[in-house]
Amino acid sequence: MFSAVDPLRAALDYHLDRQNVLASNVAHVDTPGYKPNDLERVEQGGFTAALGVAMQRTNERHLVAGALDATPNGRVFQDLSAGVGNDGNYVSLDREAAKLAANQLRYDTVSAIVSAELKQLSFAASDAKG
Amino acid sequence: MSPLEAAGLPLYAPHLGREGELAPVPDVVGPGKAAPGVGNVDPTGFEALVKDAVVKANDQVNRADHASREFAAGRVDDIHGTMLELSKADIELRFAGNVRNKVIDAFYELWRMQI
Amino acid sequence: MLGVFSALEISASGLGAERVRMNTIASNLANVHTTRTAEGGPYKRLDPVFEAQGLAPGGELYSGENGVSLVNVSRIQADARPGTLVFEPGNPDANAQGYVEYPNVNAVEEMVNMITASRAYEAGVTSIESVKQMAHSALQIGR
Repeated sequence: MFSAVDPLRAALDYHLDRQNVLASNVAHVDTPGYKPNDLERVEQGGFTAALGVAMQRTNERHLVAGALDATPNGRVFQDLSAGVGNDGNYVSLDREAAKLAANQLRYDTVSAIVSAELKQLSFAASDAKG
Repeated sequence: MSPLEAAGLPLYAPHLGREGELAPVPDVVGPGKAAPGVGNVDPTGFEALVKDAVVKANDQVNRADHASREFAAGRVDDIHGTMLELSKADIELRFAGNVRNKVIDAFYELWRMQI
Repeated sequence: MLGVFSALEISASGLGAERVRMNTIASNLANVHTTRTAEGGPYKRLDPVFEAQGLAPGGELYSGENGVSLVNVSRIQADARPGTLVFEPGNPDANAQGYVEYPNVNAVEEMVNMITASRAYEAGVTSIESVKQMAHSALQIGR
């Protein structure tokens, strides 16, 4: 029933992870030698998806698969396009601020899309009576 | 009162199931049907539809419950994930409720046709 | 796990670091004429040194593989550059040749640093606001 919602959920996860990475860049604007990171999307999948199996939890206290994955939703890469400053720091506040704004807008939009999808499903599930 | 009871979905033999879980649904013996044994559900029949919807709803409600508790306890920080699980539970529950209503309506219509 | 709260923690560490920088700048500007300190000798300007530190939620240390790190003020370093010598034989802190060593604080440099720190602080606040906004829209899912 919710197959349309799952890729949207993955998009939300990706944008939230990216927000973390960008926030980290902004925080490090004055750290000498810091090179800003960014997150690019990866095709939904990975090792477990390729195998087509999910990790089984045989004990309540075992970790849930993916709990310690770095960023299963994206690949970290360095974005040095802003150029280097005197202290070896490559962070440009303007560029990071622009990325932050765009990323937040995308998250908000996907969130609204998810809500709309759920509303449709809810309408259908309630026998077209809302 | 579990959400399933609140939605008006009957819990048969509640002493067999743990709290919040549905005990097996016995078959409805309707007109013109041979009395089947317990657990011998015709997969193409109405009972299967209801049972399937209710089981799925139950699972999703448990998942939503678990997600909410994990978030409230601070063990996970996933806001949109938790909200999604809760919404899904709401939708599944409504779906199961409507399937049940439709099945009961159909049954009573058939019942009235007896005479 | 990377989420709203880790993003807030990261931004907060940046804000804290910039605040330390502002404090050192304030100290430098206040002591621009301090020719004698407790250790003897003129005031030496202070500089915070920032470093990246892995997040440690729930005891697990993310060594930066997921591209994020906190800002840690590892130390506040005294600038060892010599100050300016001014010929003031009447000053009690004058040396044998009659020169007084003034602190190595350059007011213009400090003002520029102050503006940069202030801008960085504002950017951190913007970062926090945008994450809060994201959390609010997540809460609207299914409402």
